[in-house]
Parts: sequence; C-alpha cells; structure tokens
Amino acid sequence: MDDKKERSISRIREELETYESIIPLLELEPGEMGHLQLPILKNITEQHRKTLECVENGLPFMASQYTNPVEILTAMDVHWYFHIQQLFAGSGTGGGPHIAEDLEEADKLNIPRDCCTLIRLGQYLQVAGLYPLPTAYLALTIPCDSIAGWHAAFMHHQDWRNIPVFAPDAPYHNDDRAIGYYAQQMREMVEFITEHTGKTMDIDHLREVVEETNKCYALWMEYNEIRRSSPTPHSYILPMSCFFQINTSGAGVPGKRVWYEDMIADAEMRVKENKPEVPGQKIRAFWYDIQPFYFGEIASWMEQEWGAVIAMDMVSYCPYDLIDTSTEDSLFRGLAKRAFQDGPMIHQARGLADNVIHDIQRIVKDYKIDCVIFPGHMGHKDMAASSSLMREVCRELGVPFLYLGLDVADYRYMTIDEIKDKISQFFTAMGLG
Amino acid sequence: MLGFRIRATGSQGTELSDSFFSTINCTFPRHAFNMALKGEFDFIDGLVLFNSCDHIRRVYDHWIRQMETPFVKILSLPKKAEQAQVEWFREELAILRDDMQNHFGVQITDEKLRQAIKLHNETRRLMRQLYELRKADNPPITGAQTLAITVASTAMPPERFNQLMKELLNDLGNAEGITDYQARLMILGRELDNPGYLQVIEDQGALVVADSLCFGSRILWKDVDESIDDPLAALAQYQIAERPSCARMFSEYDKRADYVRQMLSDFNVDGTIYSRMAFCEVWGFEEYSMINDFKEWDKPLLCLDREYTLSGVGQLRTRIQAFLETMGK
Amino acid sequence: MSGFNDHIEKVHEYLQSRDTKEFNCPSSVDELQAGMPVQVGPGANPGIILRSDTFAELGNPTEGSTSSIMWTEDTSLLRDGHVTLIGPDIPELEGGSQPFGQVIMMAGKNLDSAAYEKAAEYQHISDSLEGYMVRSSSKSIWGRISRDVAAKGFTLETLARALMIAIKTNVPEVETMEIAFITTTKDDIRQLDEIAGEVDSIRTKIVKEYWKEKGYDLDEFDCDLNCSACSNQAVCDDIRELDAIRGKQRGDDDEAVFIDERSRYVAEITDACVGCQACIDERGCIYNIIRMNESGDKAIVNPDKCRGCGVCVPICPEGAIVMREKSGDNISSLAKPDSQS
Repeated sequence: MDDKKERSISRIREELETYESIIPLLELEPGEMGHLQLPILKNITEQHRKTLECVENGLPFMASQYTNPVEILTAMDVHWYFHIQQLFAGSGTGGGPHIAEDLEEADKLNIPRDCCTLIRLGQYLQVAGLYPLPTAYLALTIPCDSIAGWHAAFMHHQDWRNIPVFAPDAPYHNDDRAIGYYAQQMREMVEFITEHTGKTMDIDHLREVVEETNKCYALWMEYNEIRRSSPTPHSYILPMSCFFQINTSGAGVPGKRVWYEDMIADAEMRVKENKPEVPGQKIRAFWYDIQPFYFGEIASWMEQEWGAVIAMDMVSYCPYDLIDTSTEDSLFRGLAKRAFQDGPMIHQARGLADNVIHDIQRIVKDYKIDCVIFPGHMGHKDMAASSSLMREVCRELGVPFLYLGLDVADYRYMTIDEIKDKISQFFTAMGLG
Repeated sequence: MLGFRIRATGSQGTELSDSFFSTINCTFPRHAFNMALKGEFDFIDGLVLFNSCDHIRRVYDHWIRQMETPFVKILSLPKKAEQAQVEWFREELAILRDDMQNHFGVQITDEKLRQAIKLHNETRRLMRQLYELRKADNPPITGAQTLAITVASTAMPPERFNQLMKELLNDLGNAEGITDYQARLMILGRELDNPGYLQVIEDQGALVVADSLCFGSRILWKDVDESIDDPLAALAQYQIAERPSCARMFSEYDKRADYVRQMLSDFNVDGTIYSRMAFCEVWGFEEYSMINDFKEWDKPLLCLDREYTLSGVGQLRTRIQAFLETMGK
Repeated sequence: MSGFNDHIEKVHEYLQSRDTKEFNCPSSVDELQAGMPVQVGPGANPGIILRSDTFAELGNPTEGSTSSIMWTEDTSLLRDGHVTLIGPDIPELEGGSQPFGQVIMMAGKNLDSAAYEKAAEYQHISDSLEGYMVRSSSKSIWGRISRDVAAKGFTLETLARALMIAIKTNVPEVETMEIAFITTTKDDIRQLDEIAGEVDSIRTKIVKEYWKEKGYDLDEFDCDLNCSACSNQAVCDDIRELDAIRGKQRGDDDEAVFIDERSRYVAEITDACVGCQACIDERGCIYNIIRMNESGDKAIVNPDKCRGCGVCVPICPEGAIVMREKSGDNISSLAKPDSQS
C-alpha cells in the first residue's frame, strides 16, 4: 500500500490497536460493567477492521454523516465509516492522543475562527489525508450553515473532487409536502448508492432493518426512563453509547439490539437491588448540550469528587417517533422525518424557545434534577440565544443553573481545570454535595 | 407591483435590533431589521424572504412577530441544483403566486409573467453591455459607479431603469476612458451594496473592473430562458440552476470557481479582493476554497472581513495600498 | 382570554355521542382523599415502575395517546367531580397496552393563564400518585400502572381523584373540575387529539404571553449591556442565581446576605455620579447594597455592607465608581475601561 493510503488509515489503525489491547484485559476482568462495555469496543473494532479490509483490498465502501439514515446503508449491505465520529475516535474519554496537534494545525487553516471548531478539525483531518478515500460518500447540509459550507469545501479538496458525492437537500418547512420532498431525496440516495457500489435495495430487507432499529429506539427510550430512578443506575459514560450504537455502521443488525436489552436488564437490576454503579450519589445534573471530547474526564471527576451524576442530557432526550413500516412510502417518509426533524440539536434548533422551556420543565421534574448545566458550546449560536431564558425557567423551578461557555472540541478555549473549577464553585455556592 | 430588494442603506446603528440578535450574528440582517423597527420599511406592502442562511432565517422569525407588514412569506430555497430542486422551487413559486393573488387580489397570469421575464432580461442585457465596456483598457466607468447602477436596478421600476440605461450607454459610448489607475481589480463577495466601499478602494489608485457580487454581476450575467413555456419553471430553472450562484449552493462551487476564473481572464484582472462579512459561515468556507484555488491559479487574492456599514476606512486604505504594492503596481 | 369554552363544548359533544361510564367524585380535597386505595401527594411514587412490575400500559403512541387540559371562567359549564370513561377500566386490562386519552377541564372565576400554566404541569401527575408513572416524553401521555396498586384496586377513578387532588391543592383558583378518559381505539383517540392540537396551539401563545409578562420575550435577548464581552460575566451570573434562589428559600426579596466572603476592596462612588441609577436597578449591584442618597440625586454605598466584588464598576456609564482597598488605595485597573480615571 502506498504511503498516502497508509496514512489515510493510520488513525483507524491506531485506535484499533488501542482497543484490541484493552479488550482481552476487559474480558479477563470485566468487573461490573464489562459485559456492557465490551460489545461497544468490539463493535468499533469490527467496523475499523472492515474499513481497513476495504481499503487494503479495494472493496467498495462509503463515508457518511450523522442523520443520513443508517438503515438504508445497512439494508444495502454497504460498509461505511462516519467521518465526524473519527474526531471522537478514542475520545469521549479524553479527545484522542492527537488532539493537541490537530487543534493547532486546524487553526492554521484559512477558515475563520468564528466557525465551529468541530468542523475545522474535520477539515484539517481531510487536508492532512487522515480520512480513507471511499468509493462514494454521503454528505450533509443540516442543521447549520457551517455544515453545508464545510461540505462545499470538503467536496472541492483535490483528493475528494472525483469521488462521487450525494448530499440530501433539507427543506425549510416541516409539513407533509416537505417530508415528501425529503423522502424523495432518500430514494435518490438509494439510487446513488446502487450506482456507485453495485449494491441494490430490497424493500423487505429495509423493512426488517427499520423494524430492528425501531426496537432499539424503543429500548433506548425505556432505558431513559430507568435513569429517572434515584440513585441513577449507571454512570454517564455508557448511556452516551446509546446514541452512537444506533447511528453508526451496522445499526439495524439484530445483534446490536441485544446490547440495549442488556443495558436495560443491568439498570433494572441495579434499581431493584439498589446497587448503583456510582455509589454515594449526591447531585443529579442535567447536561444540556452535546458531550465535549474531553467529557470522560469531566464526568468521572464529577462522579468521584462530588457524587454528581448526569441523570439526563440533551443528546438522549429526543422525542423520536417510531417509523411506520407498512409501505415503501411510509418507510421512506418515516426515515426522512427522523433525519431532518427529530435528532438532537435539530430538535432544539428548529423549534422555538418553547421546546427548550418544555424540555427543562419536564426533565427537572421527571428526573428529580438538582441543577442544570448548560455547557454553551461556542458553535451553538442558536442555543446561546436562549440561555437567559433557560436560567429563568430554572429559577422558576427553584433549580440552580450553570452556564459554562466552553468549546466542545477545543479544551484550550476553556481548559479542563477551568471547567472543574467552575463546576466546583457552582456546587459549593449552591450548597450542593 | 414594484419589487424592492431590501438593503440597509443609511442605517446608523443596531440599537433597536440588538435585542433580537446575538453579538455573533452578521451585521447585515441586524441593520436591515433595525431600519424595519424604525419604520423605514413601512412603505412595503409585502415581504418575501428565503431561508438563505441561519441569520436571515432569524429575520423572518422576528419580522412576523414584531412588524405589521400584511404579507410576509418565506420560501424554502434548495441548497443544490439538480432537477428535483428546480421542481421543488417551481412549486414554491407556484404557492407564492397563489398566495399573492389571494392576498392582493391580482391576477398573475402566465402571459404577464412572460412579459415580465422579457422586461427583466432586457435589464440584464443592458447591464451586461455596461460590463462589456469595462473590459476595455480604459473603461469609461468606475466600479463604484457601476455598483450604484446595479443597486438601483433592484429598487426602480424596470421600464424606467431600462430607459435610463439606454441613455447612459449612449453617453458612455462617447465618454473618455479612465486612464489614471494602477491596477485592475475584481471584487468577490456577497451583500455589498455600498458604492462608498468601492470608492475607498478606487481612491487608492485601483480600478474595479469586474465583480462577482449579490448586487453585481451575479444578478445580470444570465437570462431567464424565454423558450421555456411555463414561466414559473423558467424562473425556477434560472434561480436554481442557471445564474451564478451564492456560496450557500454548496454543490455549485466548481461552477462558481470557473465563473470567477473566466472573469479574471476576460476582464484582464490584476488582483482580486474577497470581501466577507464577519460571522458569515457560508462565505467563510467559500473563502477557504477560494484561497486554495487562487494559490493554484497563482493569482493575487486579498481577503478582507468587513461589517455591513462602512467603517475602518483607514485600515481598508492601508490594506489596499499594501495589496497594490505587493502586486508591483 | 377567558378560557377554552368552545373546546370544552366540543369535548362535551364528543362524550355525549359515545357509550360512557360515568362517576361522580366529591368536590373537596379531603373527601377526594378519603377512601383512596393508594397514596397520593408529593413523593407518593418515589421511584419508577419497571417493566416487570407493570400491570398495564396506557397511551403507547403506537396504540394511540392524547392529553389536553382546558380552563374556563364559567363555572356553570362543568359539573364538579364528574368523570367520564369511554372504554375499559384498569382492572379489565391485565397485561395489556391500551390506547389512552385524558382530558382535564377546569373552571374558576379567577382562573387566568398563569394559573392555567401551573395546573398544566399536573397533567402528568409526576411522582404524586403511588404506582402510576408517566413517561418523560413531550409528545404523548404514556404511562404505567404497577401490579401492586392494581391489586389494591387502582382504577381510572383513582387517577381522576389524584389529578383533582393535585390540581385543587396547588391551584386554588380552580373551583370545579371534570375529567374524561378514553381507552377504546386509536381512531377514537385521534378525534380527541385534534381538539388537543387546537388547544395546544393556543396554549403556545399563552406560554409566550406568560413569559412576556415576566419580562422574557421568547424571541428577544434581554441583554442591554453586552455582558458577553465581560470576562466576569459567568461569575456575575452565578452570583445573581444564588441570590435569587437563596432569597427564595429564605422567603425574603430584598437583602442578600448569603455570602460572607468579602474582598479587601470596597466600592466608592465619586462626584462623577449623575444619579442615573444604573448601579441600582436590575443590572446593578447584585447584593442590592447601593442606594440613592436622601436628596435622590446621587448613589451611595454602605462600605460596611459592600462585598467588594467590583461588578458595579463597569456598570456605571460615567465611570463614577472606583474600588478602594480597605487601606485606602485607588485601584484604577478595576475602573471601567474607557472612563477617564
């Protein structure tokens, strides 16, 4: 394999090696949560191996983005990787070993600094040749201008210019007509995939896959309910995987559902026997934004230092509808609607501020929340607008509110120590913990 | 009915609109909405907006709640340019037409639309003739003057505008060309409607001979296809797929790059200024790609961030002077 | 607005056209409580109900689910304590997942949108009813009844009573209440859901009005000072936060004396003060310590109470406030950036 190709899979190889060394240790000593952590790691390693196999043997594979229906790709048996997730590679628990140099290099690109760091990092990875070149790829233009702009730049890169790309066009409106339009885009996506990979779509198989993911969504929603229990059964790290498991390659394969069932079984057991994973819980928080890269460190610290658990978060609290699988039309419409209306960030950005008010009111009550933390990611300009309103809603509910103002991807913007300090001061001042 | 393109010319500040936007919102919609709140747009009977970008979408959200304009519509503009998008947009136009007919009690027949298309095509043709004159070694008209004219075309009844254009072209035929300039510049960007900005640039000894701007060449370069029988389809085709596009049409970058490159050659351009407004993500990413392309083409490019209102003139002067010097002019 | 009279009428019409079971509950909270087979009140249901403990599920969205709450000023429109049920009751639902619709109608001469908003929170009863849990979902009313309470005789009348207790206890403006439940088919639910949809759109407007009266326009930002430019904004906000909550806990509105930590500085208002009161109003001294002098033309600080946080310094448009170290030095670096000092 030439140097360029080797470089393009170097990060994937690195991550694969890291996890491959952890897995046997975890198998040997699973501890209490090993049986839930292992499937996640094995899933990631399996996907990485497939990617490497495709690259090494010139097999067709794609790259795709969050909200493009994974069910379509699974049903067509197309292997793909998720180019934003690459950024989270090895992170959620610390940001990956290269994050410092990546951030510096991303800064050197000529993208104005007021644009979202996550995206600038994504661009850097492309410029540095750290994404494997797929046979074709699916881009994204929602929910914000940055994503669309990024894809324009992405498509223009020398190495990617000749790779066929399809990006669905999301309409502004939300009505039936708009859903019909987007459903048509989904059908075009299927044709595009067939054209470039030779794989075809069998509607009955799609139906099976969607029924499978429907079950996973239902299980995820059930799991969310169990988090209402006080003490909350699990620490925060694993629940984040609920989102990724259903949005990454292989979603809709029956094996994945087993993990959700196991999560629920474990949580139920902990509730019945009053054996929470995190003992000594004193503070229940609601984390109202996506998780930063370095979140593993923050969440664990909060749990250990303060007995503060994240009982609910924005990414988990989304009112997903189950898809009606009865006809081809209802399948595509259901997938379309979920893709451009239901997901986290989209749910908050497309609604008015009353979505935000309502969510906070319900969550504080239902999850017995002691404090609301608004990370205030600098890229989320829409949400920043609502922060004073959130504060007032919290005031009405008699619940303290903390605004951080961090950068999800860039720990230099507000360092981990600064974040810990702010949270500590907040907890102290509020008489919590 | 007269179509008036919203600008915020003459806006002094954003004190009224500040509470509706955040400090990280683009200044154009902030000024425009400020003027609206002050009552400067009370003369309009209706407003049509598009989901051009996140910032403009906010204008719509606020306008319908704060203003009393009797007819306000927002159309969903696609972000790419294939057949499905042209058809979608045609439907959006059809809905708009029905809404306008119902609200204003007018008949917007196909025949009337065809005539209007002819009229506006005439406007574009006349403006292109003007641009042709700027290809010459000694163009008879400055960039600032040209911008004033193209901006006027968005605010005047087209019949009158066409008549004045014809007279102007006649006069310019006999005019002396401009000789005392050091460099031929092209200006690339978006919502620039203030000839004063170009004036400052040209005062440093440059002459702006070409552009790709929202109020400039992009609105006049192509015609609506009069051979398409369905006028709404023709308009949709034009807006989505034919005319030089805004950077928000992410799939059309290559076409835009070709357009720019062609203009550099046709107008014998020495250097290009890329003008972006702060907080504009759409044009921010365009800038990134353009910088790479200009490097590839080995053509000088100066990137300038600006606010909607003309400010920081001293800085602007200095940077233009420096740019001219680096070009050896 | 005086209420949802039209919608209440529509609901009544719908109910009258169907086969119903009806029962009458008492009016007073005490009587409602008496003879309840299960606990009612805050904390009555401390935990969640797991699947294995579920006797019946109500309102799964795939089965059909709707919930709405309406009010009127006209107490004659409703028969207090009246409950209507269309479809099977809880004991008939062993192991089942049933469509579920709930409509709460309230009347009171003094009811208004604020009271309405408060009452609306209780639709989902939260943790106030033993053995009954409503899932935390914004889109539907999807709940569970535990085996334990089913065995104790929990019926929809129990639920109705609990709702009446919760609302009448917490929203005294409510004088009469009627409740309707539907557990038949998705189609039946859909008809009610249409009415619920109309009520919801009106309610969204009410919510906006409610917040507007509190000074929060849902479309506006409430910053007239550009706090985001201030590096101390977050600290400042936290302190305001704390002030409000602690004040509320103590039941006083005026003086905040919660933090006894003081810096070694105190604020001093110089002669440059023009009496604009910027340092006193909502954006000013977060401890409410600055006052106007007797003649009302200048602001003054009580140095004994001043915490020395320095927030007032940039607030003053005249740059008239400086921080002095308690030994007397003028700390000019804490003065407003573009002031003269």
